[in-house]
Formats: sequence, C-alpha cells, structure tokens
Amino acid sequence: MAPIQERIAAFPDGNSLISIQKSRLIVGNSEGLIKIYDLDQLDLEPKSIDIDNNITSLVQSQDLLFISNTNGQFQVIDLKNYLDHSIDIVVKTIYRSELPLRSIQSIPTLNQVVVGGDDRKLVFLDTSSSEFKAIKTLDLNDSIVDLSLGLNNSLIISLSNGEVKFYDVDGFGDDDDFTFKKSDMITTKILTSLDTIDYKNDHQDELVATKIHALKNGNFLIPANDGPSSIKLYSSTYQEITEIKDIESSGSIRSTHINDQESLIAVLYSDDTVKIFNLINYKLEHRFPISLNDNNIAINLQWFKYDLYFGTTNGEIIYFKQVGKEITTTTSTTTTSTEAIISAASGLFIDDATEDTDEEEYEKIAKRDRSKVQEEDSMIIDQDDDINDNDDEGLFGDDLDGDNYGDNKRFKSSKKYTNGGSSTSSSYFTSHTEVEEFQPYSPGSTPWIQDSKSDNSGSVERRYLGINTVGHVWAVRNSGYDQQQQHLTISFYDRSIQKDYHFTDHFKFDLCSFNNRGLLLGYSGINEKKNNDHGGKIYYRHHDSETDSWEKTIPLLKDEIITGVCLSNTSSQSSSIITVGTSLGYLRFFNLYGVCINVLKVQPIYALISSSTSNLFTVNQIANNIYTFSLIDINQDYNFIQQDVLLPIKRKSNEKLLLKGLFFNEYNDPCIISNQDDTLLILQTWRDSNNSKWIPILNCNNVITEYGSNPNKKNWKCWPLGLYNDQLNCLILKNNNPYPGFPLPLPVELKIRLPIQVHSINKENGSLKKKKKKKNPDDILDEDDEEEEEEDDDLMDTDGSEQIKNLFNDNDDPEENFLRSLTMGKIISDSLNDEAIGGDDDENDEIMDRLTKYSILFDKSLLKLFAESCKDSKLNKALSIAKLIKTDKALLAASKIAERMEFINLSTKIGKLREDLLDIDDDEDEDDI
Amino acid sequence: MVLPAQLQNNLTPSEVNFLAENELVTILPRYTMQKMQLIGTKVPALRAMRRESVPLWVALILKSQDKCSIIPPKWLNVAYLKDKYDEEVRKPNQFSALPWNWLEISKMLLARASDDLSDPSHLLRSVLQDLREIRLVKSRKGLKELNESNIVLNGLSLLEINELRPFVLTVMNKLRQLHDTSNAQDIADQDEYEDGGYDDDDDDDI
Repeated sequence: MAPIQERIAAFPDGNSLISIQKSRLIVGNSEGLIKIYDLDQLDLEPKSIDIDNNITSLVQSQDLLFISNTNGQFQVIDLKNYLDHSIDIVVKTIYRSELPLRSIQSIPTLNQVVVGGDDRKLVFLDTSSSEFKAIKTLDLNDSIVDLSLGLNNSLIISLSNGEVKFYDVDGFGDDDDFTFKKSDMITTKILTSLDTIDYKNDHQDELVATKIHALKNGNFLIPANDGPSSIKLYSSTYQEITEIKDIESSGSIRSTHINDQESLIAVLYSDDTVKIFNLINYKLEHRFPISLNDNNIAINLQWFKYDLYFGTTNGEIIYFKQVGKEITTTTSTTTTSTEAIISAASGLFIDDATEDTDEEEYEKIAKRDRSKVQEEDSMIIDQDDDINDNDDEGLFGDDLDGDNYGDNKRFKSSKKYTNGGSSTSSSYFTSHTEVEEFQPYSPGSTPWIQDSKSDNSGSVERRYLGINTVGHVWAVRNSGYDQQQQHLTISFYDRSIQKDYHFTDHFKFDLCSFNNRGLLLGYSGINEKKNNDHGGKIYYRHHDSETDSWEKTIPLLKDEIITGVCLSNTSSQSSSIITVGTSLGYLRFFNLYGVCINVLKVQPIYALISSSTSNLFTVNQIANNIYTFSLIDINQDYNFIQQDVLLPIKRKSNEKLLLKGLFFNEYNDPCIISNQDDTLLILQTWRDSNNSKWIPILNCNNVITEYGSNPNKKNWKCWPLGLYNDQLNCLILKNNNPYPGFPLPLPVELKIRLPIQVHSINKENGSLKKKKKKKNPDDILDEDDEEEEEEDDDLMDTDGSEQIKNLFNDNDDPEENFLRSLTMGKIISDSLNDEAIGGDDDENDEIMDRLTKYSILFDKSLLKLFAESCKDSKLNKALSIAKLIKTDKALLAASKIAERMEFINLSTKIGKLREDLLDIDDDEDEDDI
Repeated sequence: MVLPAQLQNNLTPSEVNFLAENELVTILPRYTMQKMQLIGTKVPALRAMRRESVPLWVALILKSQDKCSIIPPKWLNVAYLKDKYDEEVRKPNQFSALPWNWLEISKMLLARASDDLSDPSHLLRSVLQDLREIRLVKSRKGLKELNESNIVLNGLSLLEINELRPFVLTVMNKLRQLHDTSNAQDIADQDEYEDGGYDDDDDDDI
C-alpha cells in the first residue's frame, strides 16, 4: 500500500535542505532562514534562525550546526547555547572561499570538520575550541561535489570529474594519505550555480547523487547514474560486489540515505519516485511516488527511525511515516546463505584495525563456508585487472561517425571538466552518454505497476501490454519477478464486436498487437538474449475461438530480441499480415496461419504499427537516441513509401520512455507523441517520396494543464489513444502518474490546436492571458467588436475555468484557426485519393463535409485576421491576409470591411484581387470547355 | 386529455420528466450504431469510445443495455452544487442559475447511471436535497410578494415552477378578481363623485 504523504509547511518558497539528528529536524532554506523542529513534538512552533541565502549544505555535529552556501561562507551555529540557554544566536563565519562551497563532513572522533567546494580545496577545521582554527588545507585536482566519512576516519571525496578519492585524515598530510583513487566511479557533475540554485530548471543537472555511503562492515554504496541508474555495492577493497537496482527505471538518482540499522537504503529518483531497497538481500522492498505541486521536486532525504523525510524546492518538508517499519520487521536479521557468503567475502578484506562488532559474525560465516569464500575471493582478484573493461557495450554505440562499436570508456576518460563557469548542461549530457539497450515495445504499453491497494505481503502487479483503438490488453502477476505465469485480459471498447476474455499465460508475453478479429502476442526473449541462438515466441489466436491458434518460435541471434510485433488491421480477414521486428533489424512477415511469407533486413526496429490499409510504419533506432522511420506498403510488394527518414524525436534525458503514443488517424496518417515534448505530430504528404513532413498539431501537456493556469491540474498528464477528426482521444493521468492505472479511466477528447500562440499566466489571479496588443483608442470599432472586446476583458479579469475554456473555442484565435484549417485541409484532401477510402462513398462524404468545414473556417479566420489588421491600421498586413483568401465571397466581405473602415485604397486593391480571381476562374472554365 | 380539472392547467411531474428526457447528454458509446433520423431528433452514428451527444432517453436506453457510459453534465458534481448552495445562502432574494431541468436530469442519472457520476451518489443526493429545500423555502417566502399582475421566477426550473403553479395561479386569479372589483368600485365611486360632487380626500383605495 502506498504510504500516506504528509507535509510540514516549513517555508513557502525556496530550496529546503534537511538534517536530522536524534529527534531534531533542522530545515535550512535557500531564502536565508533555518527552522528547528522537534520531531517528537511537531505541533510545537519551530525556532528560527536567520542565515545567508543559498545554502548548499547543512550538517549537525552534536550541538553544532555547520552550513555552507554559494557565497563561499562556511558558518557555524552553537545550538546548545541557543536552545538550552536561550543565548542570542550568533552565526559565525569560520571560513570563507571565493567560490561556492558545496559539502561539509564532520569527523566527530577527531573533533574536526571538513568543507570543500568549487575552489578545489578541502579545509579541515578544529571544532574542539570555539575559534574553529583551520588545521590543514588539501588541494585537489577538481571541484569537490560531495564528502562522506568511511571507516577509520577515511574521508571519501567525490569530485566533479567523476573521480572518488579516499583520504586518511589521521595520516601525515602527504600524498600517501590517499588510500585509494578511482576515476569514473561516480557520475560527472558540474556545479554551475554561483548564487541562487534553481533545481527545477537551470541547475537540474546538479541534482545527481554523488554521495558515497560507507557501511559499518567496510563496504561502500555508490550511486551509479551512467547507464541505467543503480546503487553499486563495493567491498572495502574497492571491488564491485553487486548492483542494487530495480527493473523499472525511474530516471537518475537524486539522493540516497541509509537508515541507522543499515538495513535499508532509500533512493530518490529524478521522476520523484522513492524506492527502498533492502541491504540484506538487495531487493526492492517498496516503491512510491512523491507528489508535489507546481513542478516542484524533492531534493534530499533522510531517515528518522522508520520515517522518511524529504526536503523540496517549494520550501516544505514531505514525510512518510513508518515506511521502513514493515520492511524491517519482515526481513529482520535473517540472511540467506548466499548473502552471508558475499558479506563474509567482503568481510575478509576488512582492515585488521577495524573493530566492528559484526566482524566476529562474519568471520564465523566465513569459516563455515571457507571453500566458497575462496572461490569468491579468487574470482574478485581475477576480475581486478579487467574491472574497467566491464562497461556495458551495447549493439549500437553513441557516436554518429559509424564507429558504433566504440566503448564508453574512451568518452569518460578523455573528458576532463573544469568548473570555470563555461560548462553548460549540454556538456554534462555529452559526457553522460549511455548505450541504450533495446526493449520490447508495443504501442500503449506500460511497465509493471504495483497495485496500490494490495498489501506488501502479497502484492499484485499489473501492466498494459498494449492499448489501441480497438481495446486494451493487460497482464497481472503476483509480486516477485520470478513468477512463471501471468494472466492476460483483453478488453474491447466496442462490446458489439467481441466480448472481453482472459487466459493464463505461461510464456510471459511482453509484446502484443490486436485488431477486431485476432490477438497476436510475443515474447521478446530478453531474458535469454546473452545466449547464442535463442528464440523468441509469437502466438496468434482469434478472439472468438482458439481452434486456429498457433505459436511459433522466432530464431534470434545473441543479443537480439524481438522489439515489436504487429497485426495489420485490414477489413478482409485473409489479408491480415503479422509482422515481427527485431533489434538487429530482421523484419519477418507471416500470414494469419503462421506461414512466413517474407523476411527483410532493415535498420534495428524500435517499434512497429500497421494501418488499416496495411501500411507498415516502423520506428528504427540507428544510433543512440537517433531514430528514423519507414513506411512500407505490404500489399504493394513491400514497397517503401518512405525509407529511413529521420524522426524528429529524442528520448528525454534520464527517462526510459521514448514514445507515449504511436497510432494512425482514421485516414491512415501516422501520428506520434514523444515523451520529450508531449506534442502530437502527424505525418503530412507521406504519399510523396522524400516529401514527408511532421506537423505538430497539439501540445497535450499545455492543453491538459490549461497552460499552467490551473494549479489543480499542474500534475496532470496525458496518455494518448488515438486521433479522430480534430480530436485527440486520450486518458488524463492525475497526481503526476506517468502511466495509466487500473481500471482504464474514461478517455477524454482534446481538440487539436497548433502550437503557434504564446499564452502567459497572470500570476495574480491565476487566469490565462493570451498575448494581445493594446487597442488603439482612435480606432473605429463597430458595436459588435466593442462587445467582443468587453467580453475579452471580462474573461481576463476572472479566473473561472469556464472563461479559460472559452479561450479554446474555435473563435478564439483566428491565426491558429487559419493555420489549422489549412494544414488539416491538406492532410485530409490527400486521403481522398486513397483507394481504400476513395471507394467508400460514406467516407468520401465525410471527408467532403470536413473539407467544407475547414474551408468555411479558413475564410472566417482570415476575415477576422483581416479585420483585426484593419483595426490596428496595419494595411500591408491586411493586404497580405487578403491575398491568402481564395474565394470571391470572402474577398467581397474583406472589401466591405475595408470600405467601412474607410480604407478606400485597400478596398480598391482587394477589388483587383477579386478581378484576378475571376479571370483565373474564367480561364479554368474555358479550359474545361 | 382526460385529467381531473385541477391537473389540466398544470404539467404533471412525469410530463416534466418526459420533456427533460429530450435534453442532450454526452455519451461514450461502447457500441457501434448507424445514425438514425427520428421525428424531430437525430441520433448520430455511434462508434465505440467516440463521444457523441444524444437525447437523454437514448442515452438511458443504451446505458441500461450497458452499451455506453454517460458523461455527467458539468454541473452535476458535488463541488459545483455546493457552490450553488452557498450562493443560495448568500443571496436570500434570488435563485442561483441552475439548468432548466436540473432536478429531473439529476434524478434520472442518479437512479440509472450512478456508476458514471464523478462523485458518490449519496453526497450528490444530499447536496441536491439541500439545494431543493433552500429553494423551496425561498419560493414560499416569495409568495408574500404575490400580486394580481405579475410574478418573477428567474432561476427557477420547470419542475419548481410547476410546483408553484396551481397555488399561484389560483391566488393570482383571486387577487385579480379583487383588483378588478376594487377597480370597478373605484369607477363607480368616481361616477358618483362626478354626479354628486364628493370631496377628493375621501377617495381612498381599498
């Protein structure tokens, strides 16, 4: 069950960082204030302390509170004097740097505190006296981004270039004190903020976890964001033991924290998901989202007993009570034998000087399984030399010059960053290249989603295998990824065609395609992809009977998986074709009875979909984050209508989902919505070779959130289903959910709206304002126009949703109406010539009706634009608009408007345009005769 | 129509209900159907999952056969109706603007499509009842203002007007008769005055 999110409204704004010691919660806000709460008595009024703005780090060490900020100040506050003796608070600056300071680490056993930042210096200060004298300074080769403390006063320094250094604070102060150094151990993180830190926009790259946690048994936990994000467990001898991760990616890791018992690690991801992993068996125990308004995000987290607390960018503190309790009680102290071996193996490498209470236990286990331990040991030693070569090499490299098989290491080691201020976020991303692995994809599919209603003991997971215009297929399984079976249900929107049915699936199908008559399922073979000559599976059945059902194994090479399957949606049953595409670009075609009728090798397939006219649309991935598309006419001897044309979409950084929607409209024009910008694109003039164009026709996010004007809808998202007429059929996902839940909510329809107009939000009253020019008081307005103006003013003065909705009326924006009627008119008129549609009278009539409507809208919007230009006395603009008008009737109206506004010259020019138009018409008539 | 005399001047609730069934509502069909041209009404072609506006009676038939989901009207949710209730409380001398058939439509949808409503039906029923009662109290208070010539019923729905109609019509009729009588008396008095020379000051209204 998802835990209940609670909040402490600590501050109304600014980034809030938290630090908890015992039951004392200290919240430092970037707006220059600290509040001290007692977590046992949260209802008491907190105590406040003024500090400098733009805090970067906050550390409690017994009764001292250390803070650093981007001004380079390192300050201390004596909390004991303030809280116990009510002595006036003094914020004492104990060190000052020219550049921002980023991280503080206290070393209580040595009475020292360390601070570091952009000036590449670590400064050690003595905390035993009230003077806080600097003991020593350590110069480093790059900026310090994070500090943490390991065993035996070993300071773990995370550097901006991805290097990690282990420094012995007890040492002699020379280079030998660096007990270990390793580059590329963490993500490179360039901190560019010099004053205010805007984690939501400019400095969002600064929210990548780089802090290393040292465990009491000598092991380390390192957040890894290169490639699929995970937490890597390293032994005390700096060897990687295991990787803790979830199958379902949630973006990069923002922050981590381990509970006091070191049994749980809470990980905050960039999509505001929190995952709690068990540090005994390294399994995911709990996953839940954080929901914040206004695109605000959580920035750091900390355990307090079983509760989890989060600092956020909107000043408030979010917490979840008792999230760790159930997990701790269920997993308790029992470890499995393999885990014990791993622990023991790592325990062997612990320094003799380590006096950990657990060590004896580890030793006992180690003795018991000595032989196994030795195997582990030798394995680790063997791996030592090659450890750098273990970077995942995907099939397709990230460089575009054809060197697809180059390794990542070259990129990582050759890039050195300085913090000179010139580095931009883009440089971060170029260094942050990752080789994507192919995943099976069906349009509308979602990852496994844990049922929020089920309890932890027997949780249920569900996913949509596919959603299309006919219905949806969803799978359900019990928790645990090793379940051997899942149950599939297929639901139809149109209950008159088929009845819903369900069955048990033993193959763990992860691909799906279906039409009105049959269902095609596929297993991608992703779990066996490292095997040579493994196989994927496809299975076809009719909805109404299983008599003709069949299954077939698809041969796959090593590292190859089936990425997409597709069942063409044609009217006659015999001509339905099954297409199966793989990550190596094999495209196999089968008839409905499983006979392979063709095979092609194309670019690696990312996704497949087929239109009702058997046009196959393929999305191909040619390099990392570079995609192309092709259109193949299956009925016309597999002719390429379009071949390998670049697709203008990209994967959003740190997000797994590329496509939110992939479908055809009712006239077989391909439509696509990428997760990057939530914009619906429709392919225009795809019937001409080398002339296809993607037209953006709707920004779903803007429309759903009413251009950000409605605070209740800020966290709403859209999950597209299909495009009919001028309306996008979609689901609305509330509470920041990235995927649709269960059962499928009722779809809504969004009117398409070309993204050409700027809408700004009036922050004072939250209403939506369209950018609009001031009217000239000297202008002559007729009464109707004046009324319209008044209505508009009313609309802007109030914040009622009805008024906002009025903005989306047809009459709202003539410029958008003009462009929409022109664009959609072209798209629809192209489909008139299609054989499948052209033969159908009803369809033809429908198209003609729509074309007529567009033509009326076209003239109407142009006339409005014309009148507006005349009103503003922009006569050249008015004439240019008149030239766009195509009908005599509309030109006549334009001429009358000009006359009424006493622009006689303009009226004469329009008269000439009319004459020209008549001449053309006459010529055409003569030609016809 | 053979109805008792007291009902002949008024629409019965079932007749009002019948009229309300012609209101258009949006449905989400789970069924494909060709368009129908009926007398006075056109039912558009229905395709699964494409929203269409159809008369309420068609929607209710389809709903009873589980062939569509009814999209509740925008005003039929607890938040909106509570706002209206607050408005009724805030403005004791006027009725808030509710749809012409709000009572009938909400009753029909609550009875036959409660699973499609966005809020729990018991909450909706409760706020609808509150609204109905406060409006009833207001309309009864307003009867004090009745006169022989006109009555202002802005914001009242058809059913609410029909509830008042039998009483109001009778009373207004009586008032009119009284008024006519008093007018006739005035004219008679005037005539007498002109004939007999009464003093102006004695000409009081009754």
